[in-house]
Amino acid sequence: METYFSAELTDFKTLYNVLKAITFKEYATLRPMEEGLKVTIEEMKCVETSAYIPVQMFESYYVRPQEDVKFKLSLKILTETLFIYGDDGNLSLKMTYKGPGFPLCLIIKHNDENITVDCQIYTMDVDESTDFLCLADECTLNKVVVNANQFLDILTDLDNTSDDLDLFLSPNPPYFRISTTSTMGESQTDISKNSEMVLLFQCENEFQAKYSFNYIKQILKVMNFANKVSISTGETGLLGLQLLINEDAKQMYVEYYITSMFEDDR
Amino acid sequence: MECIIPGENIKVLSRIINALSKIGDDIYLEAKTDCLCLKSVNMTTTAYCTINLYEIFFTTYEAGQIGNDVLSCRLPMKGILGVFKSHGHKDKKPEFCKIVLKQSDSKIIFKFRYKHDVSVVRSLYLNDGDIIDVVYDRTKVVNYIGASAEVFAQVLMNFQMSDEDMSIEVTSEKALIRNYIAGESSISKGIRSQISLMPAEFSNYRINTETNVTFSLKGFRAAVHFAETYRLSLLINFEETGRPALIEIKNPTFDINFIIATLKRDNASQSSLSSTVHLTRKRNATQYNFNEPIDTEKNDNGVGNDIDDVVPQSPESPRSKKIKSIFGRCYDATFRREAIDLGKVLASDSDPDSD
Repeated sequence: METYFSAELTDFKTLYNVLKAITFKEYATLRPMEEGLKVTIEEMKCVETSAYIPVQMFESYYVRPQEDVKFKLSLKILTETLFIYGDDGNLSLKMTYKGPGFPLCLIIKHNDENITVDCQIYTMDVDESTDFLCLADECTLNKVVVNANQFLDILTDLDNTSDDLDLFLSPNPPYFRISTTSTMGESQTDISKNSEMVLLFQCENEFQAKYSFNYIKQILKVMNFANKVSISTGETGLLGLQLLINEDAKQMYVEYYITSMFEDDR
Repeated sequence: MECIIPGENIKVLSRIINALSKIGDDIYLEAKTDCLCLKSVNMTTTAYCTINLYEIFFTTYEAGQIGNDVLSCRLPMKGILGVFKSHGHKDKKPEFCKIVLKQSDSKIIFKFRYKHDVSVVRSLYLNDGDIIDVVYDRTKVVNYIGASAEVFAQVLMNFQMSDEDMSIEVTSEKALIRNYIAGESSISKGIRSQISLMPAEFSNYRINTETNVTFSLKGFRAAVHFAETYRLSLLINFEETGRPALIEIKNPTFDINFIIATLKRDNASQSSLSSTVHLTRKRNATQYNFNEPIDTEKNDNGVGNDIDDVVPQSPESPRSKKIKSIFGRCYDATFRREAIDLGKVLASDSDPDSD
């Protein structure tokens, strides 16, 4: 029988770091596509995180054509397996998935020591209800690209006792404002569109929405590895963060979508 | 009150606030005409610290005083620590910080301006409460010793992190600094350290009455650590056992006055201590040649309970005696074999599977 999906890659340290940083929930959906592998974690139907590993990252990559391959597995176990040799370098990984009902087979080879670990992770079928809407198409209202490091500094400096975070975008000053309110006090951070950390600023109409700060905090861990962050918003208040992670000349992406909180005065 | 702090002083202020956080849970802010005064007092009111930031600490400073009332407020330490927590490290140093406090307002506003067109405005809600003030009579100070923070930091290095108090015993010839371990049960577990310093090691040394003061290390550590960062010196002023001590740190732009309570002892234990002290001093003098220019004299393992020991045992505080007389039964053994008959099983385990 022909396999549904197989891929090989060497030096998956960045992949491991990214996958570990986005393990907010135990189970993730893996979706090998023509363009690359997509790992998605969804929570309460209001937060969705995906990591894209483009084909270019792999040494070899095969996915059965004309087939919508997707399966669910424990991301925790997957990341633990990838860390089986600890921090030691020069590893290579081979993944094979024969099809529905079969486990995901991993062969991890330590090239220096000539040790091979063969492991199988049981997979599950994906619930049919989980449709993959293209969330990127929804976030078309505004787009701001910022330097990840400086943006991370700003987010970590916010009052972390606050429950929610208010985002305000405007074509006029203050351009980009993040506000928090807690029992201690209030905070307001303004980033001008002329700031050197802002690489692109596209905003035609004012936009305001409130998000749960706890959900925003989840993304901070993986932002450590990112170079650039693209912030886009949608009509319904959907916030999309696209993180660009550069590894040598290769790139991988993490997408994070979060729905806004309901507000009474709307 | 409205003031602007230049970038390089924001780090100083954030260190000051960090040091103050070792003392109390609240910060009191007072806008005097010539300086901004930060105060903190601990819960048991045994440590009290005032910091005066003079006009030259700021780019601009306006007290905005109305009449004779000094504008003042009380802020939760946790909140202000959050505001100043990370400024100064990484590459995003703020260019300036503006602090605004309005008369009869419920909040204080901090505005930070960063170099790459980013500004942060933080407002903190004020706490209710009156301004505290501790009066310290400087004229009663009979003894003072002063040295650079490094000297004190070296002394502190000889103590364990678990040590809570230290005592300074001064005579006109030398100063003995040792850790203080309260209670008698600690003889077995504690490491006694004693550092003997000659007057020449201090920048200021004036002892009019020989005395021995004991105070908490927590605040002192914070003060020494802060002073060390800016290579400042500390001046410890004190009177006698049981009277508060004043630690001063001075800089042209700010000064720190830290008043700390010293341990009071009952007369009996005090006199017994002084007899041991005399003994040990004589012994020390024969054993070591103090005329040599040595940095610190350290005895790290003077553990023992006999009077001949080099480091005298910390005198028992009257409080621990009192505690033992009031809570006497707490010190009794809680398990008495004769009270329990282990030989006979009155009821077998209801669930034999569980352990």
